[in-house]
Amino acid sequence: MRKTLRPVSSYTQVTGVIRVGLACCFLGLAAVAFIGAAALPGGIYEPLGPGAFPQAVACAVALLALPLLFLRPAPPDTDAQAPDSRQDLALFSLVLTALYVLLLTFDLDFRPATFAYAMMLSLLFSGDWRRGRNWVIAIGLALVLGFGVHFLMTDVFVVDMPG
Amino acid sequence: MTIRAFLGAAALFAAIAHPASADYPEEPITVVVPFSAGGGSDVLIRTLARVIQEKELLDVPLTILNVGGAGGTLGSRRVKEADADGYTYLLSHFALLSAHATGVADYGLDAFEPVAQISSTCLIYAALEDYEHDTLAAAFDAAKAAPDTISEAINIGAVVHLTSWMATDAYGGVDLRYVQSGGGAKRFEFLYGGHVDLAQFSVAEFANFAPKGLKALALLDDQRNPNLPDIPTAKEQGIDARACVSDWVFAPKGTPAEVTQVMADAIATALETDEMKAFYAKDLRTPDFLTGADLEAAIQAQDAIIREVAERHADELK
Amino acid sequence: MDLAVFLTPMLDLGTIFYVVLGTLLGVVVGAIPGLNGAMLITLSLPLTFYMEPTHSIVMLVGMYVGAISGGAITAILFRIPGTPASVVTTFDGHPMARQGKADRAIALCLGASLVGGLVAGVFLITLSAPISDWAARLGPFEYFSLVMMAMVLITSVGSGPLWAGMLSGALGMLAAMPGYDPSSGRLRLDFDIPGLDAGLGLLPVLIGLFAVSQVIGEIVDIDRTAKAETIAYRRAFMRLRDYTANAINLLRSSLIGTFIGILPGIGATVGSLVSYSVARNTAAEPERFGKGAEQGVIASEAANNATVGGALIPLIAIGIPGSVIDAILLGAFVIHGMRPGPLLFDNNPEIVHAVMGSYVLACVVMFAALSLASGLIARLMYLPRQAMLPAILVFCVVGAIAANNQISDVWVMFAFGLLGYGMERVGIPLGPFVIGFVLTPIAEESLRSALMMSAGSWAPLATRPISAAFLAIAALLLIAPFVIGLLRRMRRK
Repeated sequence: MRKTLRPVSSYTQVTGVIRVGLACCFLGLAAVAFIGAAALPGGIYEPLGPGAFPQAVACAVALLALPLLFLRPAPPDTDAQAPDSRQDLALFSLVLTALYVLLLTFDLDFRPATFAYAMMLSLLFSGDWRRGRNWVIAIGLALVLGFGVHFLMTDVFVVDMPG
Repeated sequence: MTIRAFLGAAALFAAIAHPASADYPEEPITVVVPFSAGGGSDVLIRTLARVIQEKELLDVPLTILNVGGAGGTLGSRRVKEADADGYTYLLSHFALLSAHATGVADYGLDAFEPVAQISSTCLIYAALEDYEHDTLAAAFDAAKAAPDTISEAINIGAVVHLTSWMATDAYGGVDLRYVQSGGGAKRFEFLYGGHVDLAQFSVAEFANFAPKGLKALALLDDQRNPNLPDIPTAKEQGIDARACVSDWVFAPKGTPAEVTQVMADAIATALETDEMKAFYAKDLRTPDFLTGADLEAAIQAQDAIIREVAERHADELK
Repeated sequence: MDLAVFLTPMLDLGTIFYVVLGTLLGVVVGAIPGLNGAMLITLSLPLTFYMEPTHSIVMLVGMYVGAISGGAITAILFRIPGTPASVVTTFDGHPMARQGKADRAIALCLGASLVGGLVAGVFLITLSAPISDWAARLGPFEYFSLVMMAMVLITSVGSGPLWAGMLSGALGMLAAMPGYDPSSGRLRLDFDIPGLDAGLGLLPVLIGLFAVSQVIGEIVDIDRTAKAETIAYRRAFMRLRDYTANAINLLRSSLIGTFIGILPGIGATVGSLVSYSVARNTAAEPERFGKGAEQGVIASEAANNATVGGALIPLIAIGIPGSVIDAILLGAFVIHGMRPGPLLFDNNPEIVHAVMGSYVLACVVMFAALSLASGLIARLMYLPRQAMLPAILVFCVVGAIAANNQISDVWVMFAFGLLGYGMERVGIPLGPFVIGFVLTPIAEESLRSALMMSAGSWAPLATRPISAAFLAIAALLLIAPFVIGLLRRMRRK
């Protein structure tokens, strides 16, 4: 497993991509918020209304996000660390998490969904899914998190869980 | 022992003591309170639920679920979308109707079956003790003479905003300066700090804050309150406005009448107990029980008044 | 003031039992990510029907105190703010834990919590009536100026260049915008996305930003970080030396926390943020903050515990709840036929004394219980990652669902987890984000109320004395770093 999933690209390079991506994202959000706020009516009993604060904040975000396009707020990553980083693993867990939340959103029962999710994550992080010991840990953990937590929330704290 | 197990055991015990004649209710009933825990309506329904449990008026546990937020619409929407099987109820009041009338919610009375009215409390216009006017009429006279000089603490789009319009419209139109403040305790802060001239409170809120130097200008009701007989009504002062907040229990639309009847009966019996009477006396509430056609008519009438006011002031509610 | 009257209710074994029970339950619930004090107290409300009024109220007060401290445990160990108030504790508490000083961080946190609680307790017992009277008279202009003063601190929390900190603060402000606007209640910027109409929840945003981002970081670094080290059990008490060395910080933070707690509607999160920022600005080595500075943990914890006692002051004295939990407590009083407020002192003095006594007792119980258990708790940190990381993620999910009963909050949480990870990786600090997010709704609501009050005039901001004083302090805070820098450079020459 370790051999097939090597780090895909340099850590520093990815950081740069994230930085520019975030800056664009912030600029986009600011624009959306500004346009949305501009459409709001003025205040009834005071001059500002619901739109003034969002517009001011959107401008501030846009203004402060501009330097992020070109400047690094922190000193560059040391490439010495890069070969060890497991961005592939993080990406894989993210996909798994998105699937899990999607299942919950469509009201699949919390227990089996969480059981599967926790077990897979645990095996993923154990580094070696062929070892029996890791399976024991994963299944035990998944049982506690899936069924134990569900019991705690619904039967003790009267919070509805999906499903 | 978990709560549910505890309640379950209690229910089991109740079932042995009181063999159920009809099929309903068979499982725990949830009453959704669309406000956060600790408010006036929340405390009322919790006390009522306790009495119903203690007296074993329903054979199943009654759970109170607070789903606060978005002016009560998060909770009411949840009940609206629940199964109409008599296992989910909503406790609400004026706010449910005003949310619809002001456009905050796209559904109103039509989404629910009224079950029972359990209490009413009317609003009181109050000011600081050293305020220059002693009656609401005098304050409104002054505001009429000099528009936008007399201020009132309100909660925009919520009950006291609409009831303020009801009062000013009944007087014949006054230009008050509205200041957003929020719930009862917040309105008291604004009044107490001298930031506004007027504020409305429920009878219980007024009685609680009065020792800090408040005086009542008018009670927005047809008759004086037996607990506070010295407070004149607005009607006596020539302002024919009644603004009372009644707590209602609703079921989702389509819940069979014989099912909601079981609930209404349990509530009616509970309201007759000494415990509830003592609670009402302490909280200065009027036990104004209504059900069936009377309730329907009362809510419709309230709804009509609210709609009318909201329509008249539509330009201030955009 | 006769101290004995506050001790009398504490002589009742039943009362003591319920305070201890409530505090311990609060600690446990606060320490479990995803559960918080408000949930526990709401849940216990029906049970208190069957208890004596004094017992039920003191138990709930114990839960309140316990939950705030319990929340700090997960903040330190896993960077999960158990309650929103403990988010500031993550700033330095978690770096300390990562440096292998988890037990030391917990010890500082407990000692500071105790001091904060006791200082607030002194105010609660001696001065509750006059203080709350004064606080209740502050109006929207004063609130706005106060919030502006706190916002200036945005520029000082967190490392890195000034613009990065400000960007983070502005992003926090932007995140506070969607939903019902805090003044007129009008729905805005929800773009018809279900779940966004109620705004972005405080807990999902904070859990995402701090806990989820941390987990992503740990996954990326999974091969790099050192193997779990076995630590010897060390004494998890603050030494006398620690108390004396940090006396000024402890006292100042407790006072700030008490003061902010007294102001209705501001809250524990702001209390700890402000005292943290002040501690940082006055520290000899401000650059150590955010990297495991002991003073940071002390400032945050002393303040957020003090706000609990501070918030009880207006609740008891005039019946104004200062926070969500205080509003629930208010309901508990009413259920038992009492109403906090001016009449309570006359009608039920024994309850007032019991609340005050139990608050102080709860602080001591919390301190003792957690101190004894802290060595054990700190070891949780060294569980194998294949067990810990999935558990943290699942608890985050559960916490996000439980906060508002909305599944959409889970998406919000993960979105902010990604955002938080990205921001930290490129070097944008997260602290200012929290300040912007928490304070903007208060600022907007008070400013717009203020303008309604003055018919659109901004002048009272400068002409009302208290408001003007807050603004002047804000201006000073803004200029001070530059002036100090200038002076230092001059001295060097």
